[in-house]
Amino acid sequence: MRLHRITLRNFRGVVEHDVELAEAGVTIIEGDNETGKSSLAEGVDLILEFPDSSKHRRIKAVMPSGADVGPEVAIAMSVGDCRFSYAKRWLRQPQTTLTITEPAPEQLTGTAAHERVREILDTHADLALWRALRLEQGVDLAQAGLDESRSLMRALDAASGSSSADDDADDLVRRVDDEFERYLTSTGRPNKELRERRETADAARRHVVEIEHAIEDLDSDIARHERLTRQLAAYSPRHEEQERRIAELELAQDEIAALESGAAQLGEKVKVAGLELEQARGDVAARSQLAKLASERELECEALARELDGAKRELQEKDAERGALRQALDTTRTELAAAEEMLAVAEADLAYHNDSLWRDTMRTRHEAVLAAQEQRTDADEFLEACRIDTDLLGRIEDAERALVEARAVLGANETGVRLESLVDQTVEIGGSEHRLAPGDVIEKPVSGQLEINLPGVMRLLVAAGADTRDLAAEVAAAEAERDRLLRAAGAEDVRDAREQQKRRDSMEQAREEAARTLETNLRDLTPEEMSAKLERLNEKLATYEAERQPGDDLPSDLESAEAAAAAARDAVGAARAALEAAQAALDQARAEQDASGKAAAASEALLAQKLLDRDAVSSELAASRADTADDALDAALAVAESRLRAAETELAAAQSELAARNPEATAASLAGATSALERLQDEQARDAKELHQLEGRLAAGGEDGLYDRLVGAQTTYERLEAEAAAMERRAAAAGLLHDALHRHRDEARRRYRAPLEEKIEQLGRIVFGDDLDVELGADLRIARRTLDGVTVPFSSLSTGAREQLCAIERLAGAALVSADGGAPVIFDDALGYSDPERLRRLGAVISLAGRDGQVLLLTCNPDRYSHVGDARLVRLVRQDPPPEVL
Amino acid sequence: MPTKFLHTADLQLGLTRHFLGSDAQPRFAAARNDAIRSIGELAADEGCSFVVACGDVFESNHVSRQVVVRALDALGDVPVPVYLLPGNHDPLDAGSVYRSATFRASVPSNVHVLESGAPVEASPGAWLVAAPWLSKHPLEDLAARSLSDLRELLADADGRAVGPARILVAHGIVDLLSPDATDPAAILLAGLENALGAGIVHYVALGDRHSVTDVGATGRVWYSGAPEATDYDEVDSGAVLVVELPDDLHAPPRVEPRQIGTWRFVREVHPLDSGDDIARLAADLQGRDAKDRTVLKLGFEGSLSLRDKARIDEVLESARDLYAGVQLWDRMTDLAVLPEDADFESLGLAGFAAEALEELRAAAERPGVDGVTARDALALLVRLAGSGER
Repeated sequence: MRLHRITLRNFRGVVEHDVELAEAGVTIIEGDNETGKSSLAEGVDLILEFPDSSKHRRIKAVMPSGADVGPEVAIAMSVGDCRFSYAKRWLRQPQTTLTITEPAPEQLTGTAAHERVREILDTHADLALWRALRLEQGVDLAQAGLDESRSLMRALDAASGSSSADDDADDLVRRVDDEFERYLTSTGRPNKELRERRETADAARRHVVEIEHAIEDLDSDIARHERLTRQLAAYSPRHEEQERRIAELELAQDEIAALESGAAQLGEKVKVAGLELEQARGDVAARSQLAKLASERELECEALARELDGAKRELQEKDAERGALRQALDTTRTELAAAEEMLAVAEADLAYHNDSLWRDTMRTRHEAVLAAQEQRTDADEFLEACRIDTDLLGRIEDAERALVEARAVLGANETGVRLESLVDQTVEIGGSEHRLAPGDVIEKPVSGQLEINLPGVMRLLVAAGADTRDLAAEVAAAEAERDRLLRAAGAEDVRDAREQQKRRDSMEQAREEAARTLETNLRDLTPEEMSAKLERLNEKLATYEAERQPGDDLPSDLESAEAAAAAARDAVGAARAALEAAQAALDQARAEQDASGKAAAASEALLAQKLLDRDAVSSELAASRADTADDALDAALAVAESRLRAAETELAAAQSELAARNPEATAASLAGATSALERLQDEQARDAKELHQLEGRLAAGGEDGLYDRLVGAQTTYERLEAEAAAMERRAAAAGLLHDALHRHRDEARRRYRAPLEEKIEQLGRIVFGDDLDVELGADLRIARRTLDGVTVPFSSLSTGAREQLCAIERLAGAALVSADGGAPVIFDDALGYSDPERLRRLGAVISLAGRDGQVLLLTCNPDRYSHVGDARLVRLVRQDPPPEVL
Repeated sequence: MPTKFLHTADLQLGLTRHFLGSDAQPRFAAARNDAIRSIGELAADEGCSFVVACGDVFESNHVSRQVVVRALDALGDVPVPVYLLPGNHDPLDAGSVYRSATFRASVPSNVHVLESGAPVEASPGAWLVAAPWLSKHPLEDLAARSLSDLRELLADADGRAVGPARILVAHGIVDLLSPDATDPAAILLAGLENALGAGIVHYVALGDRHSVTDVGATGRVWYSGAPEATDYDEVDSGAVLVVELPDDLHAPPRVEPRQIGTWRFVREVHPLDSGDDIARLAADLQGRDAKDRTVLKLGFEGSLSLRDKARIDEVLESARDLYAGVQLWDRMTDLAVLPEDADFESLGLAGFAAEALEELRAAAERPGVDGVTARDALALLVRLAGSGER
């Protein structure tokens, strides 16, 4: 499709534009804003799409304002092998004219003209491509919808080596999609309607099964009914059989009862015979018992008489024995009195010796007390007089030490005088005379002055220095102090003081000792009491000694006294024991005598009784024998025994007969047969009941028309199942077709991509450089651009780059389809975002594309396309509306 | 006077055929009642003394009240006594239709159920000895049992109370015809013939087989067949037998089948390889009689293009409108629907659509479900693409 000329009249603000386009190559249409550049393309759109009668809003939109004239468009174009001029006016005096010049001249007007053009376009032109190849400023930078273009598809198809794509394929895909959606969801699963069909069919099938089950139940009831009926019929003979058996057993049981009663009578007879035998035996036994008793009584009486004699004799012996014992007791009592007397003497002697011992002790203690009292008195007297004590002694010793020290100091400092006599002579030193032999030496210190007189010879006065005198004074003071203390202590010197202190210590000790001795010996007594006590003891002892009978010797000491006392005590004990033994023997004898007396009395009484008894028994025996002789009794016993034996034999015979009949087994059989009959009756009743119930159920179920319902349900089910299956089959077919078509379409598109990609890259490299790679999506739009190894999604590219790619894509698409006629590429005020360098390169691309097809560049800025080489330039100017009419 | 009666069986009242259309079904049901009326008319015309129906009078013991009531109404209109034998479909068990309250309440005075083997005098000198089914699955030859009882009875009564003509009324398959050699309930033909030979009975009226059948060589053992067709496999149904026993009972009986049935079940296999075959079949189906009472089961052999398949579908659709029922005989159908180039050329598919078409055509060659689905998909493609033609 090529446009040769576009004429607009009364079209929006355009009064008239008449643009002639380059046959091939680039036409640049230049004009200021609102000069009607964009209207050119729009005019072509409208004339191709809308008949002159159309009042579409797009038509109304191009009505010129302020003039009552219809918008007009005229174009000259080539489509396929047709070349024609086509003019249309809308709204006011609508008109269409068509003049075809090639291949054969043809002139049409009105609707026929419109339809003829549509036909030509449908056959040869690609309006989708025409729309896709337009790039407009101000419209979103969208990529061309090249996948809508048939001619591009054909071109791509041809380039990719496939057969030609069909125009109707997309229609077909839509129809297949519609069919698919009738049954399936977008994910290929059954949709609601299909699912419901299937569920309905399944529900119908379940309903059939339910009815089938109901029929089966009914059939099984019928079968059960039949079985029960047979069973019930079989009861009667079983009953009879059982009853007959019961009758037999009852008869047997009656016979057994008769036998049992016979046996019972025989038993009774045996019992009677037994009793009679017992009686006879009793009689014989009683007789012999009585005889035995009589003789026993006789013997008894004799024995008792003998016994009584013995008892009487014994009693006399006991009497004598008792007298002897009483005498013995008296003797023993006398002996005891004597022993007790001796014991009293021995104990008094013992007391005497004890007192004597006590007095000795007392005396010793008393003496110790007296000595201690004396010692204490002495000590007390000394201590009373003594003036020294430990403290004073200490002070004396201190004073002495002070004196010694003072003297030592003085000694060290004092002037000493050493006299060595060379002859015997007397010398006065310090007023005292010394006799000296030759060689004797006297040394004397001088503290003050010392006068030495060698009588007759000389008087020597030695005086000490002042220091020495002070020291001497100190010594004198110390000495005075010591002496004062000594005086206070009443001691002559220090040693004496020490002695005195020692004595004081010993006296104190003696006093304490005496006190302890007193305490020990006095205990709770005063010395006076002690004396008194000692006095009393002495008196007591003297008295006992005086009073003591001279006959008996007083034991010499305590030990012998003790031994005598012990002996006397033993003698008393022995005597007392003898007395008790004698007393006991007497008591015993007395008791025995009493017992013997009583026994004798009792024997006597018993004998009297027994004699009475004996007489009674004897008379009874005599009477009994008089009644029945002993022989008669023996004979009766023999008769009874033989009678019993006969009865027992009879009974045993009867019992063995009874046992032969086995009464227990018969009773058990009868009980078994009876309960079996009852069970049979129960079973029969139960079966009859069940049968009755079954009949009720069958009567109800049989009237239900189950067969018809089953048939109805089956019919419904089969219809629904067939419908569901048919729909599922259609769904499967639609699914398969859908899948195949889409798969092949996608694959085809993938194949188509390659040539378009190649073309875009070929042109794009001119703009972007040799590193350019583009990747197209299934919709043939650029998905990604790779430049210098960096891949960026189309939507992330800069506006400029996107614009350039949109331009290149259109040019590439146009280039691909140019052989097939193609369509003009229109850039309407585009490429406003591109920098000068890119514009320059794009110019080269546009030039290149112009070689194959028409390129229409509408611009208000002709500089943008200054780099497009060989181009026709058309300038549009804004016009005032002229009153021109077609 | 010779004994003349009408022998029928297997009325199968209440029988429904789900493959019948919703309009044909009630007519089919009504036809069975109409058969009773035809029997009544025929019995009157022929001077029959009674009608004996040898079992399966009802399709099931569980038929609806309506079926029972209508049947009894029609039976009541038969001018002679009608004796009904319980058969395997309607055995005289506890749930038997003959014991239902509906039946007992509505049974007309001329209708009698043969409930036991006890001989019944159906017309003067003619006695029926029945072998009724008392349960669905008897374990013995019921006919033999009834014959044995009759033998004893005859021995006791010296035959005077029962006779002179005696007709055994039984239901079930005769061993000669039974496919199941172990069926305990099969009627032994030898026993029947023995009894016939001994003059115990003079005619054996059988039911169960839906086609008229003269069993054995005696000419006295007959299946009457169903008076109205019920299924495709019946050879000779739609008839009743008019039976005449001559006074001389040694002479053979006269047995005449009379057609009274109006429905037909037809089963056919047609070759289909071309458009001509289709045209021929269409004409054939168009030209037949009594289409509204004919049930067809059609099988096809051959191979067709998609277009021809569509045509045969149209023919069948049209037949469904005309006939009481049209079923496809799947088991006997071997029809390959092979898409041909001609099916697709006119569609002018190209590009990916053409590729998809090729893929589906390849898939259509596959056996089984996959192939079927692919062929369906192809047919769909033809339809959708065809409808898109300009």
